[in-house]
Amino acid sequence: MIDRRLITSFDWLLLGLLFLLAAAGAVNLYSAASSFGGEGAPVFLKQLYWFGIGLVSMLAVAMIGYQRLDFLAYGIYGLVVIALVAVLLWGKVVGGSQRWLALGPAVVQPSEMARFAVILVLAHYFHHRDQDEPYTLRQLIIPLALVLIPAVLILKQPDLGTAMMVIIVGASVILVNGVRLTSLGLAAGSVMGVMPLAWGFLKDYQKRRIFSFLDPEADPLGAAYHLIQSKIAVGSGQFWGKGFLAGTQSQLHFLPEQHTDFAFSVLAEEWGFVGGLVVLLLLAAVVYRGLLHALRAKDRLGMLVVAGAVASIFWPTVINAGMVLGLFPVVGIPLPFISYGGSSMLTTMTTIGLIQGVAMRRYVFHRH
Amino acid sequence: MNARQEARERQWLRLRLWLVGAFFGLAFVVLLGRAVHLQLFQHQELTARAQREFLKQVEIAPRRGIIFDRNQEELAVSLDTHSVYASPLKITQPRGVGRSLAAALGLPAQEVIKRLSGEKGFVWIARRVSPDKAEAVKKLELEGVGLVMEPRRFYPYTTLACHVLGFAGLDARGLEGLEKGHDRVLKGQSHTLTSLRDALGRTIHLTPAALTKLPEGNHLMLTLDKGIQYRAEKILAETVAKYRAKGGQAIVMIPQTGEILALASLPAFNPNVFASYPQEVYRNRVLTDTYEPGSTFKTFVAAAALMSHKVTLDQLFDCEQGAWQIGGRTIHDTHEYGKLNLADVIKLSSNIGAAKVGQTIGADELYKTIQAFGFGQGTGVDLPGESRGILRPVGAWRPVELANICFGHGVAVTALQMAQAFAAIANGGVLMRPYVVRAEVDSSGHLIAETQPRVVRRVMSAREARILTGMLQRVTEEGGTGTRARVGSLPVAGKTGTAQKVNPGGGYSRSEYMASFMGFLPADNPQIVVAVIIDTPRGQHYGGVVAGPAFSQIARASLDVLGWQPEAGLQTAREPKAAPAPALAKAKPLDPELAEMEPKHLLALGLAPDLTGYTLRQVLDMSGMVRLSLQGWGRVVAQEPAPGRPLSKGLSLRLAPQGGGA
Repeated sequence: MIDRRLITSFDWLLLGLLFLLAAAGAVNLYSAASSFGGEGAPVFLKQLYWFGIGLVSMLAVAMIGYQRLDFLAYGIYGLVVIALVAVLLWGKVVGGSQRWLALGPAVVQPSEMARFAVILVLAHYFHHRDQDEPYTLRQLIIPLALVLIPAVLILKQPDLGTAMMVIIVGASVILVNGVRLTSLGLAAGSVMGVMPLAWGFLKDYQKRRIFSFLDPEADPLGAAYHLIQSKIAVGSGQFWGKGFLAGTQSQLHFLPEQHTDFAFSVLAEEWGFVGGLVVLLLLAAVVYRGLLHALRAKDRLGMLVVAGAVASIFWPTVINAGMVLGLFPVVGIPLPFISYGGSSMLTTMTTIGLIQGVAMRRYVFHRH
Repeated sequence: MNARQEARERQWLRLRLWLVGAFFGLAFVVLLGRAVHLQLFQHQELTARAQREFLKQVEIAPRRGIIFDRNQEELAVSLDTHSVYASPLKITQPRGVGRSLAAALGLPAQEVIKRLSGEKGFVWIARRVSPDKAEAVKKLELEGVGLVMEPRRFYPYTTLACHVLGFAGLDARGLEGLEKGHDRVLKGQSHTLTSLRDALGRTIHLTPAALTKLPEGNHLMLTLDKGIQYRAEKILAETVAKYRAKGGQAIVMIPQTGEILALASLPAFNPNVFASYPQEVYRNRVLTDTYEPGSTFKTFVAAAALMSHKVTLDQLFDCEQGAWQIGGRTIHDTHEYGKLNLADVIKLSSNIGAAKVGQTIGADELYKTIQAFGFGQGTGVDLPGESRGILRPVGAWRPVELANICFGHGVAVTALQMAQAFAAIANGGVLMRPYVVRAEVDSSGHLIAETQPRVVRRVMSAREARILTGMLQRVTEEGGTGTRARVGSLPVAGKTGTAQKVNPGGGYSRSEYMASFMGFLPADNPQIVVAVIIDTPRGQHYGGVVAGPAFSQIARASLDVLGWQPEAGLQTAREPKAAPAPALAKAKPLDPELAEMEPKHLLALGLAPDLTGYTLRQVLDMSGMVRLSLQGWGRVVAQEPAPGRPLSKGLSLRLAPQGGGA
């Protein structure tokens, strides 16, 4: 079953980029979390350990191949939805949100897996409809429902950031597959119309974050604290940065969530513009390799799977970096490889496994 | 689907992917642009904000140096008081902590608990508490409560020399007097500690050096003598009270060096609680305020007469029987005199006579002499805020103004300028710069700087000074205006002054006077210059009557304190540290180890030191609690018990005038 071409077509460059990113992330986490004396292994080691698990998962997904996963799409999707419901019923409450599910000794965050499942299920759906014309809104009811079911379940936890990621990644797949322009305009219009209604569903802290984004200096010690501190940390890093472990804002804990959502602030403070640029370029390179494989994919399924995978790297990168740089309101979306988070790392790596799987099979014509 | 369709479809898909790629690229460009904006363009502002957050500059209030008088008596000291602070963030049980703190400090518990209950990183609980309270707080060992040393300035003799010392504020910064003028010396190197602060306001680093030793300023050794200062103030206060005057000033100086032994100004204030006094009493009027000197100024007309050689000693001036018209104005004398020579003009203080002497000398010559004595210029004293006085340029003098200046009107001087000018006469014609800071010593006792007496200029020849002294001496002789300024049988040279005060609206007051007497003694061997000015006495207003007795008492007290004897000279006063040779009673010498010790310390141990040759004042200064019985006066010639013996029955001393003659 192991074709020689599977090995030669494997994207080794992409793998190299992943190692570089993981290394950068671990080094940065060493600094970001150096001043907490937590129990257990240091955060950067845990992150590397999760990277290792992620590598295994990536290789497994790549080996299994997207065609075989295609058959499992609804099964995986169903499992994730069940897990999300289970979280709402029996999940562990941490910091006001119910996100984690204890499975024996491991604690998993099923919401992170939702992205992966949604990519698969949408690709599966569109592949099997095999419709070349752009989709109308009516035709999109089922795909939209497939996206919204897990998204709403995640929103209930509540976890706005992850829910948004599911929606954005799902929407990306739908858009790449093709939507009629009039339908697109209609959808955009109705989203705008629904916005004021949605506002009512937002939690108070979520509303505050949006307000504080619009006018951060109005309450510098309150809601906008995160935003301002992050800008100060990044800006004071200047061109070359303050040096490893020498970031004042991070080491003295002015930065909130500095090993998770704001890990990139620490990096930009200590390594300056140069460090931030390098990490963003590495992530952009991953996105670029992904797009290349999407172009080269030999079928719609492969292309859509890769497009979804690329979207799930691209969007968190842009949103997290944008938040750290003060371009977006504060949303809990981790930066791939840089922010600490086992589930996030695992999902990212598994998703890249989809890309690798497509890349490996671009010349192989499987029975199908 | 056919091949063409599929190709078109594929192309369309590729285009979409390219569009997606372009969008992604654009997004990355926007992110980088933002990073460039923040890190390369806004970085200064953001860096400054970062520093404001984490850098905390803590200025360690240095311990101010001590101000000593000429005999190492402490006039201003810094007490090691502590202040209590707390970090409410670290305090989990504000009620319990607050109660014990309040009990230790004697504060209301509610208040303390309230302060501890906030979310702040730092609050003061009590500033500059007494040592026992600080100790009590330390013993509690409360988490989140700390003590920090905040030295407090203390003036042990309260109002003594308040105008010379001035005061330092709560932030240990000198605000008046020497404390202000020599602030840099006393304050020493101020230490700024830079500490890091985390987001909870906890201090992360503190320079370790700062924890071991507080910086300390240098000490000042003054020329003032606490004893003379005290007596001068007391006598001045009695005089001011007696005549219900507005205030008064007194200066005691050593003419040969310019050292100021005492400088008093009333009303006084207590620098320990300076804030409870009106600001105008802070001013050291002796040098900040000017007045019209009146007849004391005739002294310098006489000097000009001698120096110009235009007046002979036997030349007579017609005093016009008490009234003389010049330039449309009439000059009066208090008594009607006929023809007087220069010495009598001074002795009897004739205004008309002085004006005529001035006319004879001429304005230019007079102006030159007045300037030479330092009027219209600062004395250069090492105290802040000195006024130069007002001496109008000679070109502007009309005849009547020349006449006025001759008896001390139309010219404004400070008391210190007058004392300095009289000192020049006492010093054989050499004008010295007055000063109060004798030396600067660092905190470990090393001499940093020593003030040398500074000659300003020679004003007149020694011979002329001697002649002028003779004239001034006659003022206190029978028939002169200053007979009440005499000091026992010592010859005193001086001059009375009774000046009408200038009304604020112009013209001279008919009821308000400045009564003064200034001079030096003994006339033949001047030891001290004393100037006394009483501002607006009531009942009496003549300088000789009001200020003369005060002059006499201050001069006598000063000589006593200095231990000056007509025969012995001022040796001991000049070198207070050099103990007189105790050669007489050496029959049974002290244990060599004991002999090395200072008498003061021996007395503290309860042993008799060898006191032979000491003056009474020196003995009193060091004997403290020891019971003394004294016999005679002068210097110690015999003592019981003998040196080195225990003082169980106290100390009996016999003194004799010639005691120190060894």
